[in-house]
Amino acid sequence: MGTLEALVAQITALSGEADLGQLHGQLKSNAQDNVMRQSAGGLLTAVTSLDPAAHSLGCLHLLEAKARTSNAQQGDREFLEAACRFLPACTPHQVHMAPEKFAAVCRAVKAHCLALGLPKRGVAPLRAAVAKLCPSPDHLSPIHADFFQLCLLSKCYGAAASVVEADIFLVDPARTACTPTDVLLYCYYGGLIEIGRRRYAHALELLLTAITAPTLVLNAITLACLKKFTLVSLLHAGAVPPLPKHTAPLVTRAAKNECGAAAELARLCSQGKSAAELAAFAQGKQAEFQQDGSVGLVKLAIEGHAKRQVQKLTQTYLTLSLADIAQQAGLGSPQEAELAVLRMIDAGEVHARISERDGMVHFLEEDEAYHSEATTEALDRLIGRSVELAAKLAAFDMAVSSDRAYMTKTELRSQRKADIDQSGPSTEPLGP
Amino acid sequence: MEVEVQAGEAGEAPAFDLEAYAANYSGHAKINRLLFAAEKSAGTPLELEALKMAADALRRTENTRRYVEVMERIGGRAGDQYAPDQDWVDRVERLAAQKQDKLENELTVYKSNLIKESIRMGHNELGDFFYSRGDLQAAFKHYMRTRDYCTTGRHIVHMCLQVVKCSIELGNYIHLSNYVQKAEATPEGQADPVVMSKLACASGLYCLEQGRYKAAALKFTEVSSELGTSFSDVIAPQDVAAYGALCGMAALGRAELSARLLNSVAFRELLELVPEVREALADFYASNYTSCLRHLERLRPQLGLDPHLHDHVQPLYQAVRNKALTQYTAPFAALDLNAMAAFFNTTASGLEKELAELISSQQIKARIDSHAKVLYARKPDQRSGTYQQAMRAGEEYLRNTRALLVRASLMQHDLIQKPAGGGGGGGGGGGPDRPDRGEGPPGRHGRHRGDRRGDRERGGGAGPSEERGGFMSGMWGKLGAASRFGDRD
Repeated sequence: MGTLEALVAQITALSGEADLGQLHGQLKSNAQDNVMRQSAGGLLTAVTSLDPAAHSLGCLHLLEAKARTSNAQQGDREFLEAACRFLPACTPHQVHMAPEKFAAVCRAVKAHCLALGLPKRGVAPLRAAVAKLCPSPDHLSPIHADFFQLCLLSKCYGAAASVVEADIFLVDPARTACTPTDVLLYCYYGGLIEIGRRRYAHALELLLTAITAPTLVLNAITLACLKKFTLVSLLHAGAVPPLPKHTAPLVTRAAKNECGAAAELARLCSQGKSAAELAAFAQGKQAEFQQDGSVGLVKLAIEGHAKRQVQKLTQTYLTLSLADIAQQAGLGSPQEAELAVLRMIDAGEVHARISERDGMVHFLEEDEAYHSEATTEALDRLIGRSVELAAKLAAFDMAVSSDRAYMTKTELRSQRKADIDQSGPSTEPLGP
Repeated sequence: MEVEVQAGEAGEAPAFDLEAYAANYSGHAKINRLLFAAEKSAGTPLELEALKMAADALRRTENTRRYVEVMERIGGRAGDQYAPDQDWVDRVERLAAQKQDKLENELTVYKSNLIKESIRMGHNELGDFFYSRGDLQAAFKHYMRTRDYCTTGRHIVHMCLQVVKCSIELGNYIHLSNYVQKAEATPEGQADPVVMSKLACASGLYCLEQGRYKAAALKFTEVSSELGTSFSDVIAPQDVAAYGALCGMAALGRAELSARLLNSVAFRELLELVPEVREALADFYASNYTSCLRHLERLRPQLGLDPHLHDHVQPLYQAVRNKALTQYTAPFAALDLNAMAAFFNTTASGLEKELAELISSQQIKARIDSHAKVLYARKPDQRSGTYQQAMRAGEEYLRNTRALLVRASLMQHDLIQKPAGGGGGGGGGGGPDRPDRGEGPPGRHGRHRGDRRGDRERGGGAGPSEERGGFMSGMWGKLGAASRFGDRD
């Protein structure tokens, strides 16, 4: 049996709400798989003949079969177009039945976009795909990482804004076909996007998630995250915080051994070296930084270091001559210092006035007095989010403690403990 | 510093009166201090003088090795009178060898007779013998051995004091605090103010050596004036006063300073022995910093010759100066830097740097108007500070909780990077090998090799999150327990 026409007819017939389960079983079967593989050329025509919304499951299988047969190295424009039409139009609950297939199609879309050199083409469809596959915005899907990568390559940082800003809390491989690698990639690419959008605090958060993800092997992505984390911390806070204690020891060790250049830069910064010295160091390690693709970050970090020096001066001085600023912040000349301070005033990073007459800078007190409505709003928002998060936490706690398996296990464990007490310890204690 | 007894009385001349200095000490302390002074003042006439006096002192002991050393250092620079006396050396060494034989034989006899007190005495005498010969290690060993034969509290106190003396001289402060504590615990020691003073001196030296100036100051102020010259083979009462006062100025608050040093009868008596230090201390307390710093500056060369203090002179002086600056600025809203610089005997720009450092280390709350050379006090805006802190705390809570939830979710679904064959690929793009994701509770799936290790990691990972509050840690505990179970079923 089995031609593509028959298959299409079956899809059309079984796309009713009640028959979806049956259709899913049919499509998964080996026989249909063979059919699809044999008639690879006609798959796209078949897809176009189907309505992406009504027959999402069928389309998905056909597209996925096509993705498997087509060569991602060269790129297939027709497939790409078909998939890009399908992704925004498909029906979520149908594609939820085969998350792996859906993720595979998205990955193929990304691969074809890259092969054709059209990263921009995939941005909108993949954004739609993220929304379709995730049961809630809290969920992480493998598509997140692919989407971010395309955004990065096409420099559409703004397009990723809504997705990267939505905090993820849940990874549910059963529903979104997520793998550990997807999580790391999500963090890495998300971090890069946030760096591009200059939202460093969130970038740090994402990178740290990747660094502290539980792991048994050292991963190249984790390492890359570590390097970026070091540099972004320098840029954002002027110092690198120690890694949390729950970081895998493997990673902590790697942080010491593998991130030489970045860590060295952090060390120099903490010693209060001047910007010129730091720049000289960065020049020396140019090749290493270039390889990591972080030359720009290094430059920013060094610039930030000089700025921080000036900001520190505002804590100490009310007025200071430009010459002194240049000397204390390690800037070359008074002119350079003037330019630096001027830029900082412009950016609102320092409150000061420059007096041209005598070459003096007057530092003013910060005018943020927390009187404004905006402050109240910000506080309100913060409290709201805390409450929201606390509710999530409570729900999670509830879910864990009412988990049947968990309860049987704790029951068993206490029994076992009683046994051990009688016969002496046999397993290592693992108190949290 | 003890010289200022004379130096102070003889006017302002800071000439170092070595003889008076040495007269404060006896025994080893005298020789050690003279040699140390000679070492520090190498190349000056003082060196030779110190060496000569050390040689004289050594002639009266049995420490021939030290004598030969000193003679070598004099190297005939002091004329015939200080030529090496080989005869004396030979004679003393012969006698010493005989004495050692005798003492050791006696000890063997005592030991075979098993009379505790005699054995103790034997060891003690051998200890004394080695001590006088300058073999401190051996002396230390013998004094330690008397420990097992001590029968009364007095014996323990004696043993401890000897050990303490040796360890101070050896610079071996590890044993010191042990034995000081032991002696302090005996009722006999507690009853005797001299013993307690000696012990306080020893702990003070220990704290000073470690740079714990506050503790040192408190210890030195416990010394009573009854100490007198009884501990002069280790430390003179003048030293106690000087060390205590300096450490006190550097590390104690005003209230403590007044209670412990200025208004303490015992310590005042000690202070009388060192007028210059007393003046400095009084000036410091009276906020008369110009004269205080001048006194201290005059003391500096002498303190540099002190074997216990020389390393700490610089940090102590810096601390005193910083404290003087801080206290000076405290009451002012605005302060002319030029006047202040004159008061502190420095230039305005130098003072500016010092102040800048103190401000950036948050010891002074003020800002410098470098243009008009005025220091303005700065009132911290507590309201803004509180808002800032609240926001920061809130954001931190959000961040930590999010991280916690993600991690928990990762563990719940066993999304852990595993060695090849276990789960998701190690490198670049998403590997095709997905981990087993059955619809089961956490920890039930994934029974591959790495699992046992993974669970242990998770157990360990759960630990630090306990900081985030009991309720969350409870949850972690459960998580840990749930996934831990995976390797047992």
